[in-house]
Amino acid sequence: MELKGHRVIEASPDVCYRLLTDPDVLVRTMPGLKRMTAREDGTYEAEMEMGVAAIRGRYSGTLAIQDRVEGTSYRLVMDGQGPGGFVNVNLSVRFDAVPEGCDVSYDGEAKVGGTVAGVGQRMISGVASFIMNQFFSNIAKEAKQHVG
Amino acid sequence: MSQAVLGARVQRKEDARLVRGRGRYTDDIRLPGMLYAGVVRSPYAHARIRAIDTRALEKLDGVVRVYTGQDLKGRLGSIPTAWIPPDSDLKTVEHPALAYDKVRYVGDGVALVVATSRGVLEDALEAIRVDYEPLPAVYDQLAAMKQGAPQLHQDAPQNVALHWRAGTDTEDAFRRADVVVRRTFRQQRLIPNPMEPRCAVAQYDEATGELTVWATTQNPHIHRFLMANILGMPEHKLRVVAQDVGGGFGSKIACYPDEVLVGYAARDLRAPVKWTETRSEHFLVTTHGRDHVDEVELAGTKDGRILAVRVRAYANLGAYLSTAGPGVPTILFGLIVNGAYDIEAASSEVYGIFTNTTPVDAYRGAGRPEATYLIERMIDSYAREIGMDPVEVRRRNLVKKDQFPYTNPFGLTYDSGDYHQTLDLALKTLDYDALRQEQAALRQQGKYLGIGFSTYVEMCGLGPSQVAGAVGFQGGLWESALVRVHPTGKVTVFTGASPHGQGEETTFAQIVADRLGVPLDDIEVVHGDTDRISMGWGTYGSRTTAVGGGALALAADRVVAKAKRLAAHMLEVPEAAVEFEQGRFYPEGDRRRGVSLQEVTLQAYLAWNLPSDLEPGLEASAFYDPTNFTYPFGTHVAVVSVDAETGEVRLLRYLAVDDCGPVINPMIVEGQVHGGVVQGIGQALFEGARYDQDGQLLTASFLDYAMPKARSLPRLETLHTVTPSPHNPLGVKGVGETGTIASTPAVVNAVMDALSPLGITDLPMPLSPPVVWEAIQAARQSGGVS
Repeated sequence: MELKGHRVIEASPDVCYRLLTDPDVLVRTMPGLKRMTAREDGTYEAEMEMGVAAIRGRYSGTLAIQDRVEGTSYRLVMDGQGPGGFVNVNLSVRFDAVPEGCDVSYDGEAKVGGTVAGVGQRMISGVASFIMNQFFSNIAKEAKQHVG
Repeated sequence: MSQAVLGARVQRKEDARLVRGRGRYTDDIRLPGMLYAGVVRSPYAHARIRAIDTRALEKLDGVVRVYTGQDLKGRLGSIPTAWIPPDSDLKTVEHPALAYDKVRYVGDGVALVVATSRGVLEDALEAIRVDYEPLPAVYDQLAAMKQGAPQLHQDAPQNVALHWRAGTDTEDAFRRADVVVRRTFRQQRLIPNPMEPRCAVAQYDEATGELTVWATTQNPHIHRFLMANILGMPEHKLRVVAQDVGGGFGSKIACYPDEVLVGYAARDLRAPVKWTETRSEHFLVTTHGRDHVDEVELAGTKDGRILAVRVRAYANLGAYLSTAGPGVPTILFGLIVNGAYDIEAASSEVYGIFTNTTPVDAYRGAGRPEATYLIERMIDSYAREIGMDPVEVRRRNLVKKDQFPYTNPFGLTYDSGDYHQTLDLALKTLDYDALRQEQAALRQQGKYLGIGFSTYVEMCGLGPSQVAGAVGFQGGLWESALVRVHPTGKVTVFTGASPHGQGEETTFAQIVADRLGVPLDDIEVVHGDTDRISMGWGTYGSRTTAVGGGALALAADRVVAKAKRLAAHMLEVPEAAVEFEQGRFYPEGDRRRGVSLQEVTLQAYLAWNLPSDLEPGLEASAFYDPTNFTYPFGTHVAVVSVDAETGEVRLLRYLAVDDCGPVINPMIVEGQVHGGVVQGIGQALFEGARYDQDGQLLTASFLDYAMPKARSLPRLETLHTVTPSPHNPLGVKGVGETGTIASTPAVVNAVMDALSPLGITDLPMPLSPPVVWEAIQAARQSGGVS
């Protein structure tokens, strides 16, 4: 499944980049993200609760921020296992300066397997865009606090 | 009585318990101390198993045991296929009950968990962490054959499981032809969905060493045979019981890993164990059906005479060979691709291919719907090519009444038939000419009405055991019956067939009631228990009435023959002078004196005064092996309208004229035709399994897999002609699969007929509104007539 979207945040690319790579901020802003614990190799152990109806569940796995270009871009790689399935996300995230602040864009794909794919595929892209919207709204609020 | 009972609309005896919730399905079994088992299944279509972490289970109360593939390796045999078509170079690859190194489809089992309750079990299944190394996967059979495609099994290069050919030389006919029609058809993968998912309960008796497995199976004796081998235990210590089974449609023929695992766990843990499939699991792991890509060529003359047909089929077999998997796209398909037509030259070539998908096996019709779809679609394509009415093409090519027994180009001998009679009856019933006029008038108004035919024949009543052996089926196909008349005259009938919804508790009782002249209520039919029935081959391939019923008729006749000898003794007349009618024996021509079968039976058991050469008791068994298959046939017609604005296909009429030989119970036959037709309509219009690029099944629930619903169907009209089979005791032919075999092409032909003004010749099934709508849009844009 393709994941693609963008949102203009009223903050500089540097601020946005910092917010979106700060585990504490991410746990606060990402709906369902319960925990992010740094590991020695620079990746995180993450726990998420997400889903809809019958495929709701707790996913645990790893989250890594790779190919970091400070203030410009990074790649987000997530591998999670949950009840009856898995979710793998590989997303490139870009931060571009625009007059209003920063255009945060993401482009990549999510792979789901098992019951999640079989039962939830049709709902997943809707759920994903709902989560991303909420996430960016929360980030925008954080950014405001930062600026203010 | 005899006239009344055979052919009568008798209500189903089994329904008294089934409709009141008193059936005894496998999941109804609850044994003291029973444990619950579940399977951890791969979410990947293709992956290496790196590690299985079960530590989290230590914190869960009530988890009894976990078995991984590594634990069972060497302790359980491979799950075998039971069909090895000759000269097909079949690769009988290993199929472990639990994968131990590599998983090959989403749903492949990697661990078995046994717990004290279903609740604990569900928690435990979620708590196990499996570390997979994902591998590239392939779900499509053509892609799987390509160089560089992911390889499923080491022993099957290019994923080719089998390559098989049959038929005659067709080159000459193609050279002579005025017209050659070529088409490629994709017959989509279907997911059988009986009301009852699968289930198994196993109990081990330490004292006797006997293992009892209650299972949802269509063929308990085949299960016993296979499971005894896989479990490594003596066959006579294994009992397989299928009490009430809530439908199978072929999906309960196969011996699956799950039933074997339950048996293993019960024996290992010395405790009863139950496994019940969820519907979500069912979509993933119970065998699927069809999934062919077929390249077909037809050679004909300008005036409507078919000279030859040849087929190259690519059949997706899934990740492993299922029990009957290799036989379905070869023997049950490739030997009858000429259909009901007298075509002198025909050939078929079949590739069976492994892919990272659920194994494929028989699904109602099993091979014959695929064959019928091809030839029936080709007839219409050819008719359009030469500008002839498809009915006329059929009339010119159908095997004629005086050609029976007719041997087709593959060596099958069609037993009997009058194909034209069913066609004529259908045309008359529809008022075909008027219907064509109506179609023409509607076209003037820009409305799309279509009429589609399917004049089918199928081979069923499986079958002569000698032929079974010749075509690589690893079993016999005869059937057993035992008729036991109890001292009071009540009758118990034991059959080796294993009905699971088809109503044989009623029709078999009718057969016996007719033969013995005993009231229906006095007859009980017992099936589905390897301890109560010596041997049998089960219910599939529309064999139960033709073969199991044949055995039953022979056994009943033997009972009467013995009773007649005692009756002669009691009546003090020579045996040759005894007449038997409606349950009573009379001296020839003397209706005043006589003894009932009941009175004779009592004397047979008392044995106070028997003829010196007569043994006491009254029962008889028969093992009946038919000399040929049976070949039911008929004409099905669908009338549809297509809404050009929405692409929706509406079925306006559906007429089935079938000939399955003498009808024992019209109500049950109608039910079989209705159900079969609807399943075939499901394929034509609604159903279809879809995988994504990674081999994830996207249609794994009723949300995304569209089953046909009552509101989408017209009233189904059913008619019959009666042409007995010349070779079985009842003359019956079988009717369990005819509907599914005939209806899919009838509906698709009707839609193509409706869309013919637009120049649309073929569309992939299911003909859902988007498929039809897009085709109409494309046709209009490319300048087709609107």
